[in-house]
Amino acid sequence: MTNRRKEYSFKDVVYKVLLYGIVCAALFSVLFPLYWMFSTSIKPPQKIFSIPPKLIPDEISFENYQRLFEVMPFLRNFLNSLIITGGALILGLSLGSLAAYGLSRYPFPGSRYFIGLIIVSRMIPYVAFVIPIFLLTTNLNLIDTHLGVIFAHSIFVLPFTIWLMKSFFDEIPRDIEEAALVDGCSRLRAMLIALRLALPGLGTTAILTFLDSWNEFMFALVITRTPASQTVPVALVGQLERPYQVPWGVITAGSFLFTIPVLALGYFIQKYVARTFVLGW
Amino acid sequence: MVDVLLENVTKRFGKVTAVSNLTLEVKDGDFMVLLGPSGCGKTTTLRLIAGLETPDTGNIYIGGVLANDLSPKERNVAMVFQRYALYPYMTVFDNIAFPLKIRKLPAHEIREKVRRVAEQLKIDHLLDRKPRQLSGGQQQRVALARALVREPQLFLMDEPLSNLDAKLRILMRTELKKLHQTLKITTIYVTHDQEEAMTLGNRIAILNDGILQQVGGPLEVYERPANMFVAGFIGSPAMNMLDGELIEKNGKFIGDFGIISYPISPQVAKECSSEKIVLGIRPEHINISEKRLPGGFKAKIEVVEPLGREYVISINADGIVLTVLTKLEKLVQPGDEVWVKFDEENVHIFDKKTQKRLGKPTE
Repeated sequence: MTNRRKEYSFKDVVYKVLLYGIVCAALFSVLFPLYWMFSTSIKPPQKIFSIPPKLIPDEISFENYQRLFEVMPFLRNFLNSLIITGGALILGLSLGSLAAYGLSRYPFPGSRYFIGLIIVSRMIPYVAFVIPIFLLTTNLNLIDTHLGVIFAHSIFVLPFTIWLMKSFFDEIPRDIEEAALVDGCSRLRAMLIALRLALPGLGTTAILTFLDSWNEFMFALVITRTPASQTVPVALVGQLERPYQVPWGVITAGSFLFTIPVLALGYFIQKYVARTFVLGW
Repeated sequence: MVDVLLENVTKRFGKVTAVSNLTLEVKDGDFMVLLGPSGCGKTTTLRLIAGLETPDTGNIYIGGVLANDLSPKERNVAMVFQRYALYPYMTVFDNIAFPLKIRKLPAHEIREKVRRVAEQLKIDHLLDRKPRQLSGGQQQRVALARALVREPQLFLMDEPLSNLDAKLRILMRTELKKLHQTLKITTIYVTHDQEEAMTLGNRIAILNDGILQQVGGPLEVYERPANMFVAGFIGSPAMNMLDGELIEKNGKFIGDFGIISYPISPQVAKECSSEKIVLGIRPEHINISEKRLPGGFKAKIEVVEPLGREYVISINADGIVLTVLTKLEKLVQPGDEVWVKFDEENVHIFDKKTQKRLGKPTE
């Protein structure tokens, strides 16, 4: 047997160079701000604005991380973010899954348009919802509470959750639920079997919902008032309003810590999320 | 074991009537096959019995109890689905045990019952596997085991063999028949395969466009089809149909079918709604010979298809193409001229307008 090396034509080479060039440029545009955030966070505060800017800090300092916990209640804010995201996740996923199951299994005349309407509501700039939701939360006495933000985030994430979960339920053969019904299950238990089969979809939806709620700023800003309920993005932006000097080092340190859960999650679930977007479910 | 009675059952989906005014009785211990082409309403009928659909009108009785408002779980029926519908995340053991777990049976009893039914269906070595690790035939057996383990009063099967290859299908067919002979559980089996229906069922209900065409034993529906649909649907190759006219001459009736004519008895003639009639003759009831057959007619061989033991031969007589199923004494070739004669005892006369079978010419 002879080893034959695959020969590339000039066209192949140009194509590959162009392809990798575009991928590298895209990666750079995503990763560089992250890197810059991290490198700024470990620079001594006085060297953050040194000219020329240093890509690799010549001195590593964790002073910004120490100050982060002094100038703001970062742990409290982080916990608020966790509570609000967790709450929005539970409320959004449970309501969204039920609605999606209903739409998938019990279509009614015009249900396709109804689903279209749900998607359209997601496409409206969400700033447009800020005032109505502010008024609603005020009237419900939920201003400056976790529940108020959870409520707002759930409204915000529901259309996407319904749409995504419906497409997952559509993929599950009805036979299995019907077999469960004949085997002696109640309708609710049969739905739970479908939900169990849609678990990869539920996971993907949960992660995307998590990202939506974790990173959300506008509703949290409008509804929260005090550190007792403020999320990390709101609290970090609050640092920009400090008189005399904006503590950029502290902000980047906080932002970096806030990004870690998202990065970790992204690393573990990239396969599922990619499948969701490539295959449409 | 129970009997099932469907009384004037109708089911519509929007503007489509899937089942129309169906009255059908399935006797205790019957192996009833619901047979018909796609979209004839057979699966809907099965789903109505299972409780997966609700009838728009009519009543369904299972074991003498009105079941219209009973949920599937209250009907104590077991169903085998076309695509098996096994729970993909459960092992074979858990799949079979599932209906028993729902009924909260003690664990040792569940183990014992699962083991017994798995042995019976020869899948006891597969209990730890997941459905995706099984072949089609094995999945089929697991689906059957899940249905059997509950010891249901009624078995419903929705084309359970249609996803298997031809060889396995024949094997499973025999096993299903054996199983029914052993357990004697009333079974309602849906298929579009008339061969499957004929071999499995002790009674066959033939449906078309949601309307029941005929119910009877396999030989009864084959030998005395109620109408042209049943005559054409049952039997392969299909029954030959020749258009003709009923002519009255000197008080006697004659059926003129162009290439052949038959005297028609007054009883049969009386049943005709018009003079348009159709002659039906099964391919195996047509004799062909190189020698002259008295009372026969001449035709030309068009196509010869050997099946092994016999041949399917297409013949053309004055532009009318007929299919013949025969064991040839001497091989014929396309283009050969032969004499053809119908086996008069097996000629059926149908009313073209009502499609109903009127009888045999001399009946």
